[in-house]
Amino acid sequence: MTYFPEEVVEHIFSFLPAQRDRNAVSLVCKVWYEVERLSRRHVFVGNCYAVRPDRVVLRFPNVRALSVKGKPHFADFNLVPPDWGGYAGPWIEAAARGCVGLEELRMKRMVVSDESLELLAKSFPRFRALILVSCEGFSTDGLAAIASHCKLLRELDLQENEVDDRGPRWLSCFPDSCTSLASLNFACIKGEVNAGALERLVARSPNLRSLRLNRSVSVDTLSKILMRTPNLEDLGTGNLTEDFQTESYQRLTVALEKCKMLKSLSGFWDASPLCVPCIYPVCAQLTGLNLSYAPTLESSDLTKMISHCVKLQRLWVLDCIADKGLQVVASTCKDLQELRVFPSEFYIAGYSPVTEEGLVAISAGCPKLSSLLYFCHQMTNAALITIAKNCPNFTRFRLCILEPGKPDAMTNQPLDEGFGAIVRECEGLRRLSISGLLTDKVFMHIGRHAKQLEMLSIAFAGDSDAGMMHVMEGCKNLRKLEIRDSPFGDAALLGNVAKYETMRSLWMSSCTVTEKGCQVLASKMPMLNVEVINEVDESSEMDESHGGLPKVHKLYVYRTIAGPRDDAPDFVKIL
Amino acid sequence: MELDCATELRLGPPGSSSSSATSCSGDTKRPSAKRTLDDSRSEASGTGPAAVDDDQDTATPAKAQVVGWPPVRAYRKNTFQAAAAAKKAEQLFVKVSMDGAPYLRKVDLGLYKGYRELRDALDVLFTAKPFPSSGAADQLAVAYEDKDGDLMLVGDHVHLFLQEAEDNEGVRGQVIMIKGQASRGSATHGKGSTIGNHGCTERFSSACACIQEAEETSKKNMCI
Repeated sequence: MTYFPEEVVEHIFSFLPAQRDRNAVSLVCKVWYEVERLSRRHVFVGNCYAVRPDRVVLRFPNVRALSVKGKPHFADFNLVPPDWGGYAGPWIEAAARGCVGLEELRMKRMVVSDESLELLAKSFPRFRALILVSCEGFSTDGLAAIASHCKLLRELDLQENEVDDRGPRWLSCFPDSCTSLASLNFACIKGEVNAGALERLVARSPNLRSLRLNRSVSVDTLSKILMRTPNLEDLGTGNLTEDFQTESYQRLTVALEKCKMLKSLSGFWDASPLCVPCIYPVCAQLTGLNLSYAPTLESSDLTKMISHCVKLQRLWVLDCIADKGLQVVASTCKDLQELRVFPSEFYIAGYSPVTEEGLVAISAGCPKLSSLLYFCHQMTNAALITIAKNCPNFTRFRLCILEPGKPDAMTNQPLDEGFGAIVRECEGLRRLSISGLLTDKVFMHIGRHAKQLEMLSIAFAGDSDAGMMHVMEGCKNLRKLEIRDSPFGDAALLGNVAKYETMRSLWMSSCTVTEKGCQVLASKMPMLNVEVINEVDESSEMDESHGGLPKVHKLYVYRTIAGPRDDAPDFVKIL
Repeated sequence: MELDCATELRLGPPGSSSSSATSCSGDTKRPSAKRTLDDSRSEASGTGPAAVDDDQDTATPAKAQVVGWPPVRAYRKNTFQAAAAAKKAEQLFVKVSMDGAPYLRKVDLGLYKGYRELRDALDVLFTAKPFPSSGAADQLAVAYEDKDGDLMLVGDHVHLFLQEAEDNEGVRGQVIMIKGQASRGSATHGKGSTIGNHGCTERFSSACACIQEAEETSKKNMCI
């Protein structure tokens, strides 16, 4: 074998940023393993319990950016009990011991304490970026520690976290010498912030490109800030519900007009329709728009705004936009790549202003559409077939029909054929969520055609074990499978046990799996953690059973090299 | 898969589409959904929002809720619920029409501190200009039909108008905008102001006199 100095090998590896590729090269030989591990800069841990933190830090001591994910996806919908786990502490402690060069930390669905944030702030002298998504367990005191001690902080991005608000002090903790901020997102902080401190912080941050405010920031403060940030690319507004004050909104329009680089707008918490005209000057330059927190904007307000947004690529909106509003989107936003339509009401029976027609219009008008999340009250096979033909480029397709098990609104048939068309036409489909009335047939289609599928979410669907087995057999690239309220039992669970080693995780809740089946799985596959999660008050419901065996309420299975975790609460049994 | 259950949950009046294939709670093949859904299905008895009542924000049988469904992040749900509660406390919606305008607007009076803000807001809603000009010529008079059927200027006694709007369905449905030189002698005062009744009729007739002319202008200005 030709000899290359290690520096050359390392240089070659630097052209392989993808973790998968780096994992592959590290298997070639010991030398390459060593070179690779010492030069690895980014580590992504998809399941915090798949590997021990110490092991990661030991192998990659020079890592600069660490990403860790905790709870399973269904935790977003309150299906995972509190105190289940996903603690950030061990990760931050291990990193503080073993890789002090850490610069960036991303965490999703984890429990982060103030103590951990303080340790983080004090342990990494080059720390630059903290991104927390859907996390909990910390307060603004933890943020104060970050602000005080991270002298080179560039990015503080708090997305949809549950933060205990202990007052506005934290924002004032950024020292006067901190001038490096490029991205600040505190939209999820519930309470007041000190307007003066915020204005001063912005004034001394010439690199600020992304700023997302919370509801407490007044229109006047927003206008003052915007006058200081002509290079802003991404803005999350503050309070736009205020009583209509002409001068304030005029100032806002003037300030927004100065932001020639502005590409993305969000916020709009309960925004008043009267603020809409202020946004018109920037609409034509926007590529991203999030109006999904503005239930007070009616379809006409929304369409007035959107009709100016000719460059829009990403749109998040509420179903108040209605089918006719979606038609305006379809005719205006020819570059649209991502659309999310959220429900404004969460009841399962009722009327929704969006139907399959809106989605068909979008698919006809926006051929570049690749990512969809759509909540509606009805769908038809015919519509889905049309949509699939119009938009073969879907990589993410999530359809949520609000009433579980609802059939085709025109024919009363299951929606098997409609979803079948989606998986057949969209060869690049990586993520799929299905809903409505569905039999085992839809899983046959998915198993046969969805060859690139990585994540599948199933709810209230299927007739028998065969359904799940079609998926387990056919979807070669499946990594995450999450199922609720579907009739899949032990036969399905045990049908293809080797597959779980190729997947990140399996979630099954309110299915017909029994504890015996889980025991069998655990004994056959020692490299999996089989977690049975039983909540006390549900145990009385275990009467309906298969052969007298109690059913498992919630099951979470994941591959791991860490063995059973030692931080599991009482209600979690690891088999 | 045609299942016939007395307690199936679906949209539409009872008795329609009896061969519906929706899933139902009696099906032993399908595992029962959460307790909440089962209970609510039997209570709902096949009708949709039978007991629709906007003021009830706890789950009634017709507005059944399943744990963790729909799959909307808790963060988003919490944001909405807090806002909805706050909104309900202050809302007072009235319909506002203007002659020549293609459609009406619904306005929440709770949002405005006084008559001036309301008038400015209505100006924005009904005209092409994003901001009301300060010139008197473009200002609007806002009137409503009270319980006696008389056309009353809102600005004269704003608090009385608000009282009537709260008490009276008819008033909520019938606020009308009159475009014209209503500023001449009309109520430009803030809330709670009182102007002697004697001025009322005169102001009204002067407003009416300008309507004709103003309507011509408004038709040109409007581009809704």
